[in-house]
Amino acid sequence: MKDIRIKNVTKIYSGAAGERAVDDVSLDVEAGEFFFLLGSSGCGKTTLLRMIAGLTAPTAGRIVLGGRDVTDLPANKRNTAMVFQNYALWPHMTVMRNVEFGPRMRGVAKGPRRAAATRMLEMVQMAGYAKRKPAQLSGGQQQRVALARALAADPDCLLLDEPLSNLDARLRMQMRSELRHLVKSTGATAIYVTHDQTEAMSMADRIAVMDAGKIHQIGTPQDVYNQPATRFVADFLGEGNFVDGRVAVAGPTLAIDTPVGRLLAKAGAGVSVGDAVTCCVRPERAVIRTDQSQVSSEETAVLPAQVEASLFLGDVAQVCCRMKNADLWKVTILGVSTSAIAAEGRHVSVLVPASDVIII
Amino acid sequence: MTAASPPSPLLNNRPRRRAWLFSTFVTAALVAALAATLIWPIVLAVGKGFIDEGRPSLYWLRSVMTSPEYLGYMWNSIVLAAAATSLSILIAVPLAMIRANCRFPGQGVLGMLLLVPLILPPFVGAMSTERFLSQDGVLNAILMRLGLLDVSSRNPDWLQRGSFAAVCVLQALHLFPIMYLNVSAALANIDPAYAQAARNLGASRRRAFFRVTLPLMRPGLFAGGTIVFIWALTDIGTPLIVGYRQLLPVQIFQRLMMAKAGAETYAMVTVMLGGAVVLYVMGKFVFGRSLRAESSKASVAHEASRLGPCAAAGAWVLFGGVTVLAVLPHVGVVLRAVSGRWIGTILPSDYTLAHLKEVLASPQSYNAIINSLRYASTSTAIDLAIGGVAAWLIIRTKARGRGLLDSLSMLPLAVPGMILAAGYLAVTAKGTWLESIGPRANPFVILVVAYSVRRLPFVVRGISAGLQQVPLSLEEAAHNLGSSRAGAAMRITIPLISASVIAAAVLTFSFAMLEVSDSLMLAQLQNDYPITKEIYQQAHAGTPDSLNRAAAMGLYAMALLGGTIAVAAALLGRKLGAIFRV
Repeated sequence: MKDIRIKNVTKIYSGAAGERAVDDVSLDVEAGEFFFLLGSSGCGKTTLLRMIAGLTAPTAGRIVLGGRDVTDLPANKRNTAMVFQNYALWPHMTVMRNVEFGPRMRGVAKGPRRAAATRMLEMVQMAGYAKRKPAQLSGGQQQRVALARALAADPDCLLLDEPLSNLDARLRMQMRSELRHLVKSTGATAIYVTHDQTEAMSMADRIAVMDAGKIHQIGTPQDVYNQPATRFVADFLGEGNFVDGRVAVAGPTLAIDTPVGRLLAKAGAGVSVGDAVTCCVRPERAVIRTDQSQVSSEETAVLPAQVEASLFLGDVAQVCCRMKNADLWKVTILGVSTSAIAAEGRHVSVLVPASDVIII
Repeated sequence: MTAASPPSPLLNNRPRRRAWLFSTFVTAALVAALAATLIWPIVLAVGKGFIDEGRPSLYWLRSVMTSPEYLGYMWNSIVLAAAATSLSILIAVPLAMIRANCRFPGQGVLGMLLLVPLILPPFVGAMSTERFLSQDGVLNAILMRLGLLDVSSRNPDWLQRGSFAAVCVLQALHLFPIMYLNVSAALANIDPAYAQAARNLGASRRRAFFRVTLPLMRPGLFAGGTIVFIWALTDIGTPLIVGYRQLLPVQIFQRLMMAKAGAETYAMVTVMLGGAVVLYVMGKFVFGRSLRAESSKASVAHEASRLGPCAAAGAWVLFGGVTVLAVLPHVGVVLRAVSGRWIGTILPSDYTLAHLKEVLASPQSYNAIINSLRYASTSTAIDLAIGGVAAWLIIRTKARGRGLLDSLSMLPLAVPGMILAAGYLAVTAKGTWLESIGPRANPFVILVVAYSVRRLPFVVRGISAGLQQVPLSLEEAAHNLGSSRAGAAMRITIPLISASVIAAAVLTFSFAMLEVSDSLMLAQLQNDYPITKEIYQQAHAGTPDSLNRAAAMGLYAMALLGGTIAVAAALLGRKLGAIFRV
């Protein structure tokens, strides 16, 4: 179990007009942590992963694994193991030979390494497939063999590059809990790269949200969801209704004047009267009332709106409301019959509790 | 953002820098070797055409380009090449279209059989022409049997009138598989949705073909056509055996062989080279470029129509018939080799194994076979080593200069074999420091080098294609799990490209066994003759059984060829088709 320290790592590709794929990124992953790099395509997360593995060389910065500076070490001397997005199982070798490759490279004798490989295959429930070739396996089976291969190498650090992205939706959901359980049971430090925020939220100990080569925020899933540091993070994880405003009244509860109405929010550090702020309200936190006589209380802001459309999504319903300044806000209601709440064109009140307004 | 280039990660990383330096060094070494064996000889040969009485001059070049005799040869050569190319297109296109659009039993086997003529050199098949076309030959015998020829009158001598046509047909029958492969590939790359959209909007099948499919197919036609044209333009083997000499390359050959090669001859070499290069560049860049722009992957499923029993039988006749026709000249050679008396009849009147035995008993013929094996195996080994390393450097490393290496290793495609041979003659001529490895001393080195250089583009291309099909992530996974870079190459990549390597080896070996231009020109002492030169000598010896003996040698050569393919089939199994990926 080793920790990983990334210090000011930058990657510039010489061809692409000085474009920084990874821009001065620093982060610390604790030993045994299941750490996620989350971002959309092209944000640099896979590049960062490959630099940790040693498959790509950083332009600047240092990478320290378990106290050892590995920046100049070739990939095969770093004791990391990567699960590739397309699995990269060797087609001319059986499943067993694939899985025992890592131990073989380290000089483990045939008996012990076969036993270790078999143990790993049993852990991923692929023990009966030892003599098959990768071409004879389904996508889900290949993915498990790829994981077994990486784990069999007994790495200090496990690196996973979107390992579930090639699986169908149902299998993906099944594999999430299995994967986390497997990784945690081996105690390996793991870095997982994905663009799927549900995956990150459901599996991670901590998440680093990346965009355009930079890290926007690092925190637990709750932290990044409930207290997003930037608009990008607030928008990337879950949905948000955003509006810019100015602080009118300071105190234990802030009052913010915005084009949709006066919002109330809990006081934040360093925010004073006259500051320009961006407010974010999660759709599931707002409440719709058809009763027009609502007035703002000390803890809840009431915003006038008109229902534009409503979507029935099965477990929830999403109501689109046209606000005072013609912005469209989304409000999510749990599976109540929408006709009871919001016929199109109806005038409603959107209630926003102060505790549910996020200041960015 | 600053305009300065970012600091290279290589400078901070010793092992990576060492690896990069090493691969750059190897690239430079290969480039130098290719420059020495390819560029320098050609420059030397061409340069000799620009010297008049010791001073640089355009005199000979002008003289050749304005002389009616040489212009006549040039024109003949162009007409011959055009005719051979057109004929091969006419044969190949319908076959490719049927193969692409129809489904019938046995189509796989028939498709592969169609490619057999690629490895049967027309040089050998040409030996049948004399028996076939002469006054007492097979054609006349058939015509008499059919009652088309009057027995009493003098039989026409087709050889005299028909040698141009014979050369053309022989070349077309050898080259049409290249067109077939190119057209098939072009058709496979055309999205069926295009033709289906045309049909949907009212066009008949025929109209859709001519207005949509054919134009899209054109780049593939041109790409294949250029290769075929250049080959037919610069071929000397077939015309020499058939006996048709009014062609530019044949004239150059004869002058070079008579050691009367003056500046005039080398000026002719320049003209030929110029023509071939222009054609190659046109084929690659003018037509090749549009091929890349227009090819698209299929977006809808390709609907091949299933042929009924009559149509399927028709397809069999067509495919089978063309294959039989292409193989016929070589069958003729086999018959010739085992025939006793064969005059005025369709088949030999009696058979004998005497010629076959004579060849094995005769020390010089036996020697020629051994020579060919020596030359061929050495050049195959060199090609695999150099071609493999070159392909690796080009595809898998970031070495400096690998673009140059790529271009240089493809260059022999544009240079007709005869011109390279002329260059080697010039390099090892009397009085030069390389005289000791010249054709009159010990041509082993230049023959092996010539074979290797000529075949290098195919080896590099074949192995590169294999490498490109092995995703880099497979090597990275091995490297990540503890294998060294070299270990990953040995354990992962090389096993996965073994089919490409074997295919390349087989093709290189068989080519070298039956190579014509370099062999004819660079082996001038009898002890050093390879099979093809010995065949040529026998065919022109003029003694009663010499043509039979030449045919017997041809038979042995084809048997060796067949053996090579059989070995390849055993090694490759189902991947045998890799051999014919041009």
